[in-house]
Amino acid sequence: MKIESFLVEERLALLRRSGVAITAADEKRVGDSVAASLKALASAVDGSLFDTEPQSFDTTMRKLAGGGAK
Amino acid sequence: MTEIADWSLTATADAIATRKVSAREVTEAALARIAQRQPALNAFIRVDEAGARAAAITADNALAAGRSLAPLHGIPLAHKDMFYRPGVPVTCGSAIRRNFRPDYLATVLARLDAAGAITVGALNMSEFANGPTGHNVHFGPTRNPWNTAHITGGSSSGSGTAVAGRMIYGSLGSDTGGSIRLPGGICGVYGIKATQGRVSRYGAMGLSFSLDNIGPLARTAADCARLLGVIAGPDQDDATAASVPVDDYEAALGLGAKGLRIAVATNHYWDGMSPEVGDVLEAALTELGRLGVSVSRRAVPYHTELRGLGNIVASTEFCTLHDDWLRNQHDQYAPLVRARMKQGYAFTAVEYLKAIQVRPRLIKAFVDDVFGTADALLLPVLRFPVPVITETDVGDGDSMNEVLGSINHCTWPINYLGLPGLSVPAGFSKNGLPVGFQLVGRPFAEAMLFRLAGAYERATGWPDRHPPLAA
Repeated sequence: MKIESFLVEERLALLRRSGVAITAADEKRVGDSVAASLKALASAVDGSLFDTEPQSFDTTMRKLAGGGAK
Repeated sequence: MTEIADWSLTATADAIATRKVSAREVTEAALARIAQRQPALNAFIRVDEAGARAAAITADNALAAGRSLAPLHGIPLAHKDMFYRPGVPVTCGSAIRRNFRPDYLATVLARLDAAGAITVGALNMSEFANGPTGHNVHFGPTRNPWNTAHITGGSSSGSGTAVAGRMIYGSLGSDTGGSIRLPGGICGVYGIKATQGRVSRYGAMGLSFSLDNIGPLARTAADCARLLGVIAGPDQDDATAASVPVDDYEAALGLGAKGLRIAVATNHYWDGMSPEVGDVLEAALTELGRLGVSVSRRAVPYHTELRGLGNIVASTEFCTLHDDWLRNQHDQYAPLVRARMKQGYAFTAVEYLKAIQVRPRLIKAFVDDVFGTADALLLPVLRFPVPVITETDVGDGDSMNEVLGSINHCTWPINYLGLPGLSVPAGFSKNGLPVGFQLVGRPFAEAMLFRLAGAYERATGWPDRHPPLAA
């Protein structure tokens, strides 16, 4: 999936509005990183998250547990 | 005859228990070794000689009075400078917190205290645990005891070099994207990032509350198992600490590896593998095969997604915790540290929460796929020989993302998955620096990882190799 440049530009606008000092190098670095991360998110969230349970990290880990050494 | 400071933690604990050596002698040996090697390694931010000596006297008096022994009775330890003890300075490796003194006690320190350990000081670290190399502009870089021109890995940099340099018997570090496993593998010691929630984080500096883990670094698998056994378990002060029972990790070490199954990831984690590191890892796999482990090679899923999702979660949580200081004390951060944090401002709340909400689904799919046919997944720690300090001193320059991303390439994805990962010494590259591998398991399968590591250690004896520092 291609992350459109305007989407990255929106994120850079968020960064500029944060009130934190920003350099041109920051913008380049953040732009690259955000594009890759949003692409990963789009790939991982394929469709709706409507049918997911709330805060289920802990229960998932317990259900998948492989305790013991045998 | 080996010097006391070179003994393993468990051997030293046994020697104290049987009164072959006193806690005072052990502590003096550690303090002498620290004084000797600190100038070369820069492992410590602070050494508390008086406090350590007083604690050693108390430990010896308790033993003389016949009081029951705890598993770390009289053992000198030191920890990454991010664990809170009332009234004791905790810098977090930063200028911003240089004069901070907490008013409460970290659960992990309380458990080590109760187990009889002696704290001899605080260890250097990457600023706010943010950086995988061991550079620190405020306290200077830590140096690798196998060759002081080379990095230690980070962010638990002082933990790696102090343990490998035989200054202390074990230490605590933290791991948000590899910060225990990298200095473990790079310094040639063991380091475990246990399952997310296995170890309480109460009273430990936070970096990313969804991905942070506290864990030990130590010279032998048994030392590491003992330390994890002491600190693991539920905690009424930390709602995220898991209630799952803690296994007997030390008992697992002696079970042997015959019949176990290891999967080796052939994609992503092996991409760009240097031939000499690859040769060491292949030799390790051959040795595991000789021990009766079946080795299968396969592609593992989601590596690209895991890096990106971990980045969204980590960077947003960095900004959440550091927002006030990033606005008002911006120049107090190292350029690299503040540059890494800023990207969190560029994600929306919906994107962050999607990355959190999809996490259990990805973990289940990964575990079902990989651990349906394997007891552990073997990954490199680094894919290339340990680099020198100067070539990785990138600051916030153009190469920052590339250099740092290459170092945590194999460790970073595991934190989003929340799975346990143990770095194991596996040999040496041609430059004489350590090569390590990670064993990754199902949730709460730390005992299985120690079982494999114990068998491999007995077969190879890597912990018997000492760094070539002047005696």
